[in-house]
Amino acid sequence: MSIPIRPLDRIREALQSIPEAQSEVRDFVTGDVLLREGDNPGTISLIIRGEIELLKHAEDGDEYPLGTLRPGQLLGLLSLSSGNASFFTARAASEGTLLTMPDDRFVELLHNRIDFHQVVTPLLLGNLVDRYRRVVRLHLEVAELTRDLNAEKRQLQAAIDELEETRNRLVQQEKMATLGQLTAGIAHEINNPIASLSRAADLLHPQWHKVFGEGIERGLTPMFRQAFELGVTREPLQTEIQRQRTAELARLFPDLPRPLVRTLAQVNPESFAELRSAMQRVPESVRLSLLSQWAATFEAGVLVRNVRVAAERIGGIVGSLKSYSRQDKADEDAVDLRQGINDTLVLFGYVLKKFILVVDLPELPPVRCRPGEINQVWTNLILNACEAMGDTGTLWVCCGVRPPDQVWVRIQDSGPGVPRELREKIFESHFTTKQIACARGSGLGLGLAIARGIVEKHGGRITVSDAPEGGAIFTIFLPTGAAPD
Amino acid sequence: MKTKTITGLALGILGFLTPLLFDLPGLGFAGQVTLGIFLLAAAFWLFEPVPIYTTSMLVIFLEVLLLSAEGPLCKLSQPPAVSPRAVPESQDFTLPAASLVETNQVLLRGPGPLPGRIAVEILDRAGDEVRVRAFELSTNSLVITRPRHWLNTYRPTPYRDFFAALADPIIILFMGGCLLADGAVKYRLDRSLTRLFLKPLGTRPAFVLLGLMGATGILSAFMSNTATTAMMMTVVLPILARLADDDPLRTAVVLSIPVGANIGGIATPIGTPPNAIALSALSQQGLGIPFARWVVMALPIVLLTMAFAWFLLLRLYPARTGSLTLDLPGKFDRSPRALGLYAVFGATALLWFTEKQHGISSNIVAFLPVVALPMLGIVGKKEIRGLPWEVFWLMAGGISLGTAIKTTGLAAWMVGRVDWSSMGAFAITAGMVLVGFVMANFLSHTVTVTLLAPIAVSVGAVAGRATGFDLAPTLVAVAVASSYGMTLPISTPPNAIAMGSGMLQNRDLMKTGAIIGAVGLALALLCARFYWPLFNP
Amino acid sequence: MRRIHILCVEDEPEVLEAVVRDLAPFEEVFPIEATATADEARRVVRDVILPRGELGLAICDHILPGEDGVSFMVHLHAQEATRATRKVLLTAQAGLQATIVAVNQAALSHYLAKPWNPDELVAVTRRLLTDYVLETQTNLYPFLSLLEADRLTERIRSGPLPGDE
Repeated sequence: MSIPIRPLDRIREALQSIPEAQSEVRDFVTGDVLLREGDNPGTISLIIRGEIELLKHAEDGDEYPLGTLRPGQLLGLLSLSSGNASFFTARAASEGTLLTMPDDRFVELLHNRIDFHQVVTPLLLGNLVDRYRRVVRLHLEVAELTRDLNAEKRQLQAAIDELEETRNRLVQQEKMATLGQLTAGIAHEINNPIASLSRAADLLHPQWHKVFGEGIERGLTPMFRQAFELGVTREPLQTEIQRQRTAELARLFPDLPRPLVRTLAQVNPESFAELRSAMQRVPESVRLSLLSQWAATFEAGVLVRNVRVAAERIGGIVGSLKSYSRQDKADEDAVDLRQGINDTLVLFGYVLKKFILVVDLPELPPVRCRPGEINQVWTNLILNACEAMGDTGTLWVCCGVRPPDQVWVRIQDSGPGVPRELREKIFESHFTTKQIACARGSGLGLGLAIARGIVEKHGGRITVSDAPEGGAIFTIFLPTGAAPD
Repeated sequence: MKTKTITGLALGILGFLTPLLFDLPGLGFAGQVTLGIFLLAAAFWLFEPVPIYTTSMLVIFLEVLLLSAEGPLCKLSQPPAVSPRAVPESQDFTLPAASLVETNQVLLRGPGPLPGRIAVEILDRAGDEVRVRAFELSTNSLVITRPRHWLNTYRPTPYRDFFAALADPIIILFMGGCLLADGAVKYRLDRSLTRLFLKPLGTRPAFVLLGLMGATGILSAFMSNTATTAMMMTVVLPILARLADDDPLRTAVVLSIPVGANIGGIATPIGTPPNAIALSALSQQGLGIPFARWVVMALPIVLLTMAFAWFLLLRLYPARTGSLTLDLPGKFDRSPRALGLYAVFGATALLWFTEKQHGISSNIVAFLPVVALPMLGIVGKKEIRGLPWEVFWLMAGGISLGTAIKTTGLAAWMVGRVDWSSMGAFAITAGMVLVGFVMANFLSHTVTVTLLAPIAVSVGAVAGRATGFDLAPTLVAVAVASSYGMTLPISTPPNAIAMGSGMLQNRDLMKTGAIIGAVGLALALLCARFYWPLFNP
Repeated sequence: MRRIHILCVEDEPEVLEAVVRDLAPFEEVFPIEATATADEARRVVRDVILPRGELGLAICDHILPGEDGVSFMVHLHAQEATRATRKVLLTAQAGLQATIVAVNQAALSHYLAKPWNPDELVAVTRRLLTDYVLETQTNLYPFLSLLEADRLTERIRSGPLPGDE
C-alpha cells in the first residue's frame, strides 16, 4: 500500500485555490540565492520546476554541496520543524518556479483544513521518504569511503616501510661506496711503497750475491753465498721444532751465545752438517767469529725473505680490500663468487682467528651480480656467525651447484642456532639479538635484512636451518644466468 | 744436616774434650780448657756448623763460664782448705799430710786470688797428719789441702776482661772506619771520588783499567772491601754491555774490582779486619803500630802487587776495543750534611796520618767519627744499626781468645812443645805466613788471622828473644798474606760478588787470583824479612 | 743457576722472529722462549721454564688461534709461580673489554700497539725486568749490565752486603 501522490500541477492548483494559504508563485533564475545559511526563512516553498542545490559553508570559506532539491520537494521544511535558522544555503542551479507560503499559514492550514491536509501530507511523506533514502545512500557512501581510506592508509604504510628499508640500504651502500673510495685511495697510496718494498727485497737478493761474487775474495765466499741463500729460502720452523733444535744445539755447543744457537737452529740439518765440517777446517781462533759472521749472513737472508713475504702479504691484503669493495665495478658482472668469499675471509681474518675455519670452495660457474653488494652478504653472514659463536667454534664455508641454473653458498657455524619461531623474524629490519650496538656488526639488526634484500634483488633466496650437530646454517641460492633487474 | 755441619760439630766437641781427657804435662787445667776452647773454635770456624760470628760469641761465653773468676766453674771448684790445728802448749800445728807441696811447703789462702806459698818446718809425721812449725801460721789461716788443684796456679781473669773484647780499641778503630764508610756511601762520596779519580785517565782501556783498580784500592783502604766492590761493580757492570760479548776486556774489568779491593784493603789498619786483628794482638804485646806507620809499611807491597795485577790483567785479557768510556753521572753532594761528612772524614784521616806529630792514638781518633757523625745527624740510627756487628763480634772473639791463651799459660806451653832452635827464626815466620795464606783461601780472612795471631804472639813472647823471631813483621805478614788469599770465589766477599755478577768464569778468577796471590805472598815474605823489621821499635 | 726467562707468544712466525730478534740483547742473561699459541706457551712455562728457573716477562699477542692472549695472562696471574711475572700485551687489536680484563685480572704491566717501535719494546722490557728483578732477586749484580743500572745500584747501595771478610 502506498500513499497516492497527486501530480505536481494538481497540487499547485489545489494550494493556490486556498486563499488562506497566501501562496504565491515565484520564478527564479540560475544563481539566485533562495535561502542563506543562518537566516530563518519564515516560509516554506514547494519546488514546481527547476533544481536547487544546497550548500554548506565551511570555516575555511569553501562551500560543500549537501544535495539537490528537485520539483516536488520542499525548501524550508527543516527550519519549520526545528524552529532554528537554516544551516545551509539554497541556490538555484537552473531557472525554475517555486510556490511559497508563510510558515504560520502552512502550519495552521495543516491543522485546520482537511483539504489542505489531504494535499500536503502525501507531499510531506514523499519528501521524508526521499530524504531518508538519501541518508541511507550517504551512509553507504561513507562506509565505502572509509574502506577505501583504510586501504590507502595501508598502502601508504607499506610504502613508508619500503622507503625506510631502501633508505637504510642506501646508507649502507653509501657506506660501502665511501669505503670503496677510501680503499681505492689507500690502495693506490700503499701500492707504491709496497712495490718499492718488494722490488727492493727482490733486488737485494741478487745484489748480495754480486757482493759475494765480485766484492770480497776471502776464499770462503761460497760458504757465505750459501748462508744467504739458505736464509732467503728458509721457511719459519714451528716453534716446537725450533725449540727442540735450539736445545739440541745448545747441548752440543754449550759455549755458543744463545741468539747464535737460535739462528743456527733454523738451518736445515744437512746444511748445518756441511757448515760444521767446513768449520772444522778453519783454525779454532777464528772459528767463533767466522760462525757468527756466517749466522749474520744467514740472518740477512732471512730478513730479506721476511721483507719480501711481508710485502707480498700487504699486497694481498690491499688486493683483497680493492676487490672486496669493488669500487671499480659498480655494475653487474659475471663473477666467480669464491673470489669475494676469499676476500671477505682475508679481510676479517682477525675476527676469524679465534675459530676453526673449514673452507671448501669447489669451482663454480660465474654468477651475474653486483660483486660489491654480494660481498656484503658474505660479510654480514660471516660476522653474524662469529658473533653467535662467541669465543670458540668452527665456521664452515662451502659452495656448490644446484642444477639446472643455481649455485649455493653455505655458511654454517657451531653457535647456538636459530630457534624455529625466530627463523622468519631474523631477516626483518631491526631484529637483533645483540645486546648493544658494536663496531663489528651493524648492531641495528640490519645485517640479515640487508643480506636478504641483496640476495632477493639478485633473484636468489636465503634460507636458515639448524645443523644436526647444533649451530645455524645459512644457505644462499643465486641464479647463474639471471641478471638483476 | 749436611756432612760438613756434622763434621764441624763432632770435631769441635772432640777438640774441646780431648785436652781435658789427657794429662798434658806442664799445662794446667785452665790451659787445657783454653786449648779445648781454641780447638773447638778452630773446628767451628773451619767447618762453620754455626755462623762464624756465633762461634766468637760461644768462645766468649765459654771463657766467661769456665775461665773467669766469677764464672761458675771457678766459683764452685775452690780448692778445699782447713785451718791448722794448734798443738797445745807449743808453737806447732798439725796439718793434713796432703797439704804439703814439694815436701816442706804449704799453700795458704790469702786475700789475693792466688794462694800464698810458705815454707814450714816439718816436725813429725803421724799417719795422715804432719806436725809443722811456721810463724805465718795461725788457727785463723786457711791451708789448702789439695795443692795440685788447678786454681792454685791459675789466676782467673775477671769476666769483664772477656766481655771488654767487644769494646777493644781496635774494634773502636774499625767502627770509626765503618761509620765513615757508611757516611761516604750515604752521601755518594765514594762515587764522587771514583769519578774524580777516573776522569783524567781518558778512555784507553789500559788506563781505564788502571783507574778502576786504583779507585777501588783507595776506597777499600778506608771502606770495607765488600762495600767497595759492591759500589764499583755498580759502576763497571753497566758499561760492560757496550763491549762485544767476546772482548776479553770484559773479564779484565770485572776482575779488576775484587783484585783492587783485596789488595787495597792491605793499605791501612782499617782496610780490612785482619789488619785490625794483627794490630790488636800487637798492641796487647805493647807493639802497637800507629796508623801512618802501617800505611808506610804496607804501601810498597800494595803498589807493587797492584801494578803487577794490572800488567797481568792486560796480558791475560788484552782489550779488543780501542776505547772504553766510563760515565758516572752526578756530582759532589753539597748539602750541609755532606759537607759535614767531608770535614769529619778529612779531619779523621789527617789525625790518623799525623799520629807521630800529636801522639794521639789512632784508636782514639777513630772515636771522632763515631761521635761526630751521629751528633751532626750525618748518620742516623739506621747506619748505627747497619754497622757490621757480626764482624765486631768475630774480632771480639779472637781478641778474648788471645787474652785467655795468654793468661792461662797456654801460650807458653805451646811454644815449649816445639824445639825452636832446630829451625831458623825466619822459617817460623815463613811457615806461619804460608799457613795463613792457605787458610785464607778457604776461610774468612778474619778467622785466619784470629787463629794465627795468638800462636804467633805465643811464639814471639816466649821464644822470641832466644831465637831471633820477630813478632811484629810476622803478624803483619800473616795479615797481609791473608788478604792475598783470593783464589777461590769463596775466599773473599769481593770475589763472591764478582762471581755473582755472572760475568766471570770460575777459571779466570782462580787463575788470576792464584798468580797475584803467589806474587803477593812472596812479596810479603820479602817485606817480613827485609823491610818491616826496619820499623821495629 | 736458576735463570729468569722471557716468553713471547705470537702466532705469526715472522712477527715472532722480529720480537725475539729485538730482544736478543737480553738473552745473555734472560733466556727467551718463543711460542705460537697460548696452549704451547702453557706447556713451555710448565715443562721448560719453571723447572729451570722462573718467568720474568711474558709478551703476548691478544688475537691468537685458540685461547687468546689475555686469557693466557689471567692464567699466568692465577699461578703462584708466575704471579710476579710482568705481562705485556703486544697487539694490533684488543678491544676495550679484553684490555680491562687484562689490567684487572692479569695485572697487565704494559700495552704495546703493533707495529711497535723496537726502542720502545726494549725500553719497556728493560723497565719491567728491572721491576721484576728488584721484586724477586737478592743478587742484583748479574743484571747491572742489561737492566736499569741506576735503580739496581740504588738498591745495592741501600741493601745489606754479603758476609764478612
